[in-house]
Amino acid sequence: MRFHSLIWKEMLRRPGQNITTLLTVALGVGALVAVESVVSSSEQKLAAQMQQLGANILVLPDGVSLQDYYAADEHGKTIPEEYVSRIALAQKVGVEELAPKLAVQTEWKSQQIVLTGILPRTEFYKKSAWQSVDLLTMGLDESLADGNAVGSTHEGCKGHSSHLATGDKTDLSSYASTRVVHELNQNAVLVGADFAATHGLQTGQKMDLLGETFQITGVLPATGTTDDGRVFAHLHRVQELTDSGPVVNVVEVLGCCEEVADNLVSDLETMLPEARVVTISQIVETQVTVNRLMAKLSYAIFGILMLMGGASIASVMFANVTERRRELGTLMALGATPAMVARLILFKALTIGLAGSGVGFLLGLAAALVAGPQWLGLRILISLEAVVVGLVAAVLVALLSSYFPARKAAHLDPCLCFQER
Amino acid sequence: MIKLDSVSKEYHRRSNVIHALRPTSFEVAAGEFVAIIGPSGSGKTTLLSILGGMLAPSRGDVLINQHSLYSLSTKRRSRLRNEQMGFVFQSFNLVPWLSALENVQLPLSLYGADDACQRSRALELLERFGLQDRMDHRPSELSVGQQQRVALARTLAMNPPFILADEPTGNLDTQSRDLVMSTLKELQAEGRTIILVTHDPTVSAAAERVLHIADGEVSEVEAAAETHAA
Ligand SMILES: Nc1ncnc2c1ncn2[C@@H]1O[C@H](COP(=O)(O)OP(=O)(O)OP(=O)(O)O)[C@@H](O)[C@H]1O
Ligand SMILES: [Mg+2]
Repeated sequence: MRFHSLIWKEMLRRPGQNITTLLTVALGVGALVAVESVVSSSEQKLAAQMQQLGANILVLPDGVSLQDYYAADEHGKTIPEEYVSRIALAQKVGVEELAPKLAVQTEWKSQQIVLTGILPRTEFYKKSAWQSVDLLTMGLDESLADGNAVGSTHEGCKGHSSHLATGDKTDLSSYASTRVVHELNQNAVLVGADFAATHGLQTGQKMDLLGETFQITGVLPATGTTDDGRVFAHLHRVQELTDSGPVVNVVEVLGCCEEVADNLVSDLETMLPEARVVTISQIVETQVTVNRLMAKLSYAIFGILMLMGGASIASVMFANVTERRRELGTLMALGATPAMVARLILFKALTIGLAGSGVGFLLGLAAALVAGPQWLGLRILISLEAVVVGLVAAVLVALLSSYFPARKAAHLDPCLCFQER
Repeated sequence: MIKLDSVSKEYHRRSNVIHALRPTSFEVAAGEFVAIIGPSGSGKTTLLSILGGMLAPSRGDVLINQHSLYSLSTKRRSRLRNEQMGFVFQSFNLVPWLSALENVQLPLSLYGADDACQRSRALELLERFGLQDRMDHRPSELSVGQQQRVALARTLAMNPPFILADEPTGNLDTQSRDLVMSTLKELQAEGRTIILVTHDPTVSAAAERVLHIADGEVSEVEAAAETHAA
């Protein structure tokens, strides 16, 4: 029998009170690990979106505030579709693509779905008013060269660029970064990857929407965004069927690179004074602020639970020492040194701290893995920092809070062994 | 050999001074069986605690084999207790959450003996007291007499030369009492030094030498005189 097995043998005798204390520590560590993992995963997702969307800019109706780039059209307010032509005709430096959108709620197979009207690239070609736009001269000829854009090309663009090869432009898989499809006829719909998967839809099948029959001409590749759960139809067809007139909820402007984005924002603001113009980085910033707040909050909750855990360990240990006075006195009579007796108490607390952070880690892991994908649509990566901080803090709290109980135990009078019960 | 050299102990409680042990000097030779008899509150436990290295006297010195017990560090004194002193308690002081075997292993475990050695020594002692088939029982699953036998086995685990017993038969029936007393005699026969404190003259009768204690004052009584009185 090792000296240390005395610790767990004693703990197993009456595990009840130890488990309560252990759970307090576990809750603290669990909350920290779960929230931190969700926050850091969400930050990684944002960074990935930044990477993918690069210099994208949103033109929104005034007064619309938003948190998610991909849900930018879900606010019910509109701006005239004419803005699209204004931007296209102004030929601003760095504008590569324009993607106006109109999102409407509609019923399909007695379910509420979001039908999004989008304007395919071919529409720009049709508009005679835009004949002078560069896009069209170089535009949709098969000779379309790399880097062709709606506006003037920005020379010496060094930052993250959204330039696409010609082949990409007609490929649906480029939708995630260009936000524009090449072609979409009036009776066609595109469906998001998740939507297609949940409803078992395939290219060629029919969908009845807004009282009309549409044919699915393509399934968009998964993007990990709300787009995956949507259905896309031609903008003008959606406007027509919903009697909304020539309006859109948002115009996405794909800039050629991050350097021009800031200038472009001010240019667009002057050009469209009634609209609100924001960049992807501004949107990301608001989310990052929310995330940071959550992260801070999780540390605060962790701190409070650790204080409670510490207080709980201290009181359980004090009670334990008092209750075991005669037993500890007997151990001293049998040859245990005061240091050994102190170790019995310290290691017991340490065991509670370690087991607590272990259980907490599992709780946090489970919570993050369940909540992340289900509620937040995030793929969760466990925050190693939170795990380490949780473990170290739990151990420190356990040791600090059992210091005085351990000291009390070490100073017990061995003569207690002669006391009658 | 244990020697007390003008040892006294006072407790100071709320400006009261309690003379638990008046200045006392006596010597116990190796292999002696000494009983200290006195009424309740006379200072028996105090004296035994001082002898066991658990209570520093207010004045005077305790010598164990010529070494001053209280000039040792706490750690060395703990070690000396572990290796040289076996205690027998009135209520046995078994650890309730350890089995009989583990209770006997306890002093060996504190000493740092390896598992195999702990186990074989503990088994050997449980066998000596006829408890080999009770080795996995918790103290609460044993009769009072069996508990005291486990406690005796534990006392002997480290094969200590000194046995200090505080009212070892206080909680026992006649049969168990006889077993404890005959065991103490055996231990003396093995060459150990036995010091026993009790308020019970029939228990002290087993000793070859009896000391009286009253109000902290220790006085020698001739063993022969004691026998006459009884
Ligand atoms: N820790 C202490 N603080 C104050 N006084 C004490 C302490 N321990 C013992 N005493 C006092 O010292 C005296 C001797 O006590 P001790 O326990 O040695 O008596 P005892 O002979 O063992 O009695 P009993 O037969 O009842 O066990 C008593 O008056 C007791 O009240
Ligand atoms: Mg006593």
